[in-house]
Amino acid sequence: MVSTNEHDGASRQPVEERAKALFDESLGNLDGRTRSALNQARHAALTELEGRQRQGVWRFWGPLSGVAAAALFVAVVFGPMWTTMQPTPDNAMPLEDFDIIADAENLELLEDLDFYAWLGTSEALPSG
Amino acid sequence: MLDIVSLGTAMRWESDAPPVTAASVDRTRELDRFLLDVEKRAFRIARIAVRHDDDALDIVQDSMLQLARRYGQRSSEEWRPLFFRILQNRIRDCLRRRKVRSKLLGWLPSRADDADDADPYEAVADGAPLPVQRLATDQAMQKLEHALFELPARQQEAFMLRNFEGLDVAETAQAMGCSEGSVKTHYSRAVHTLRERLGDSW
Repeated sequence: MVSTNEHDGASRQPVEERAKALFDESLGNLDGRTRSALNQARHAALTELEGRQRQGVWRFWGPLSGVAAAALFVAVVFGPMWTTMQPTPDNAMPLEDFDIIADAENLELLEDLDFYAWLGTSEALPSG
Repeated sequence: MLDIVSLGTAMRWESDAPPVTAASVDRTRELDRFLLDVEKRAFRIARIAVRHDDDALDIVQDSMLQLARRYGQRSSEEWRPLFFRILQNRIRDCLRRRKVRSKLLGWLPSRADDADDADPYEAVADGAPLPVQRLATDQAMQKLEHALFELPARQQEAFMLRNFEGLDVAETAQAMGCSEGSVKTHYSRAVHTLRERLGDSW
């Protein structure tokens, strides 16, 4: 607690003493709503501190558990896929046909499929 | 595959983190005692600065949270100047926002105008008349608050931190983010101005 004005070493002036006395008295006149709000704020801060302290433990175990969880996830999700990713004969596409399919020019052939389908049916029809 | 070397490094680094032990519980109790000690004064200081109960409560609540979040693990001897540094920053933020809002929405009533209105809770009668002495004290406090509000911000800060909170010059300098010489200058000018406005026997 300040008892002297440290700026010039002189004792406190009346205005300083009076202001301090009034301020201290006003502390006892806070209404219930304000006191309750301050109480809640204090407890919220304490909860924050406790949470930070707990995080200090989890910062160590967290990465390990995270790695284990990630490994388990990969094994569960992608594990069966590795064993089932064998193309069936019906879905198989010979590798030598990929370059044909991937060729941009052949996209136009795909767009004309309807035409070729019709052409096939018209050729099948007997002439005349 | 886990890298054992990295794991060991992580363990060594993270071993600095505080375990949840009796020490942690003690730290929580320490913070509780500190906040219980400062909360009312912090609210009154913020209330004088922003002249609005809810804003002052928000400022104090945020300051408490920030102290716990950022400096909860520091030595408790550092908490006081740190807390009031945070408090002053929050007060400035509130006043800055209010100024910007009043400029942008000048046609709406500003919060500063609302702050000058009487506290609605004070208008609720408790059924008993206030003692004459209490009325006189309240009026004197209102005059003091008004005079403090009129001070330049830095003089107001220096006066309230030194006089109301009892911080020494070094702690006040830390809380205000200025030199000790500046603290003494601001404080001296504040006292001079208050004496002129209030007189020695208000």
